[in-house]
Amino acid sequence: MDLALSETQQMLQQLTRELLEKEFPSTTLREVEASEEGYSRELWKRLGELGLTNVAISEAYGGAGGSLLDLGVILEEMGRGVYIGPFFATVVLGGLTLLYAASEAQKRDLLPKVGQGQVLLSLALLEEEGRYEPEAIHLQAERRAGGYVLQGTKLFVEYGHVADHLVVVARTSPPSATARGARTISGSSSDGISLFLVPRSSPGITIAPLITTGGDKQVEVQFRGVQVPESNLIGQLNQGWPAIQRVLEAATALLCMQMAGMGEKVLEITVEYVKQRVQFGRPVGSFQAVQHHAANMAILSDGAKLAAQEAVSRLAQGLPAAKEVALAKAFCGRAGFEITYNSHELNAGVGFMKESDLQFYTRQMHGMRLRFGTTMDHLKVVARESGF
Amino acid sequence: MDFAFTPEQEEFVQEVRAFIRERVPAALLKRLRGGPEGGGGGDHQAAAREFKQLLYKAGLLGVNWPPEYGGRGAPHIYQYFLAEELSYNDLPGAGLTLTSVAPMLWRAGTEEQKKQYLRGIFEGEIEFAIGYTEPNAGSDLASLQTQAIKDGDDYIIRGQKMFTSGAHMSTHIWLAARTDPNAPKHRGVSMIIVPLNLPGITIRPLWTMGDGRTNEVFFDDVRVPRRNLVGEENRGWYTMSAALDFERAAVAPLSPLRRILEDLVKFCKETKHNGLALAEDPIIRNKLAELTVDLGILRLFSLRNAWIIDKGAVPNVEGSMIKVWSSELRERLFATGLELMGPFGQLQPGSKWVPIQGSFEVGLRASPQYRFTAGSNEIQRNIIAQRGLGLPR
Repeated sequence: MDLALSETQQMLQQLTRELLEKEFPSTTLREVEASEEGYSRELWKRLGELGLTNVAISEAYGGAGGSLLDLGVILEEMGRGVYIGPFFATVVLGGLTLLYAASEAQKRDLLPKVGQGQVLLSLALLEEEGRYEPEAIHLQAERRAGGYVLQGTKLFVEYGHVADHLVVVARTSPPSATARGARTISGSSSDGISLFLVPRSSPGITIAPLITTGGDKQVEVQFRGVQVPESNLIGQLNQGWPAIQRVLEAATALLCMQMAGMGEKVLEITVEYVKQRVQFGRPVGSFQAVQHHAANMAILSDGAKLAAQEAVSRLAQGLPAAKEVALAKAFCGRAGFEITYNSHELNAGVGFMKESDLQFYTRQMHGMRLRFGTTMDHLKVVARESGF
Repeated sequence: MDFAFTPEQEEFVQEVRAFIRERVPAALLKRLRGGPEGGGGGDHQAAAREFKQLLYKAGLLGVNWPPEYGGRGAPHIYQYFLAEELSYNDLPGAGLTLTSVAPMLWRAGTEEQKKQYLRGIFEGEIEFAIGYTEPNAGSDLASLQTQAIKDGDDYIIRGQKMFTSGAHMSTHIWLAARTDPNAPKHRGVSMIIVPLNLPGITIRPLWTMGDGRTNEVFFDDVRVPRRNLVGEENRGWYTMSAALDFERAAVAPLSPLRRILEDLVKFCKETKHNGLALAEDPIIRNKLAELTVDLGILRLFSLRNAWIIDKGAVPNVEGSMIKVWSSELRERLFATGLELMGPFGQLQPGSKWVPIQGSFEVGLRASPQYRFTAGSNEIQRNIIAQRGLGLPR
């Protein structure tokens, strides 16, 4: 057992922290939130130049060959820095799907560009039911001469409006009853789900923004008879779900790192505030009522971080992590809520104003709690994985 | 970063399990179990000593200590594994003598003291009671008033200690006493080892709501040699604080709570209402899952403590977190269980109708102490806020 970060990870941590402090001050964040694109092109360029976008890509495709934990450290810092932009969509959702499921040719073509920050990706997964399950995938990909035609609607596609390519999770045959039963245990190989790489500029695609709580960009994507060549199928026909499940597991754990970093920073902001805010002739942070709120936040923050780290480090080592990931997201959701809302009590009126940075953390944390399974969703998984 | 144990460590855990399964006579196990919380005295005490001697002979007790003390010289984390397995099985051996007093003797004691006490501790011959709390010194421990007055080569001890658990079954007391009444209160305290069989010591029982026994101990001019001083005179506050850090790390290991949750889950799987197991009811599943998550967080806090100790450091704020988290979780576990039992939850151990041998009934009754012993949870939160987060006093 060793709970310390490696030298590389410490380096990544420092690099990301300094970059965001310098290139992503809250003035920039405010502009980005209000803009249509929803991200800073300059920062994106820097992320690519510094190699932060290629950390988890194998060396064979021009990446740094780092682990998911290395990537987790970067995301933790992005949480601390309330970063919004296409990093998660491109590097985690799109990048990992390609890494896990794409053909050699597809990987050689795209991953180096992803690593250098030249290409933006996203994953078009959720639909009307909003569930991260194969049964909730209805977007049809119908076989035609030389390819497929896509018809349907995708929701909550992160930075889909700026992505060069969308990885579209589509239905190519109806789910079989046996597959449904099997999936809950180990993931089925034939859920009738296939993955397609679709350029955003393809005819038949229309995109509409969804205005969300966190100020990050998520969009609705309509596919009306979108033609996709055979060569853009990712992985095997009808066998796309296991890769998505693997991506979801990693993405959930990595999002927990981001939430943990965010919670830790909210605690720091709060501690700074109660140290300098004077009432009754003394810093309010010297009152035990305030201290005990802060102590509770610290316990939750540490717990969230440890849970996220264990989930990601198990995945990085290739160990089974279904329970650890579910536990982490269930806890980070709860901790994230309690930390942000307690911070508002302690920061009071000042922290509640739009001009305070605290609101960014609270709103983004809100969004993260609701994506990739809520605490309630993951408690169900914890129950199942614990054998009751 | 790696949360997993090494194969050697896993092997040690298996060794301890095999020891408990195969090497402890059934009759001894029976004598060891079922004693009231805080120790039953009499035969239970003798059985505990026999058990500790078995552990020592197997090289398990004191596994992390150097070979000259009968240990294996293993890293400190092995002591954590041992304590977890013993606690899970409700067996003695990982008490404060071994987990709090011994490490402090090792750090602050003289060579002579180490020779005199450490081997005896491992062999189960020496057992310490902890003498910090007094009638007027609880959370404000530094205001303790028991005096140790210098008289030639001796100290004369005068005063009273309170809630001294285990004093009736111990050979010695690890005593915090005031050696300089004129110094500021944190600077006049010393740690002194006092044998409990000396003239002038009176031990009186106090019975808890959880049916456990604790004690008050009176010192009427008890004479102890000055060589029983541990560490520097008047610097005892720091020795005591470090010992308390060890205590907090040890007082709340994971496994007793893991055992409680396992018992609860088993109960929910076996108990049916209208043909449906409690564990299949979505509301109950949700409760159990929440408790599982909270226990999972406790596991991570425990691992972190073990890792810090393994690195040669003493957990401080981290120990306070574990103490708060585990004591409050313990209550939730028992309270949830009793709620699921309804009227049967009222039954005390011994009834033919009582679920889980009544361990939840007595468990909830006994659980308040975990929130106030070894520093109340308010004090722990102060420590987290002040030492951990740097908030002003």
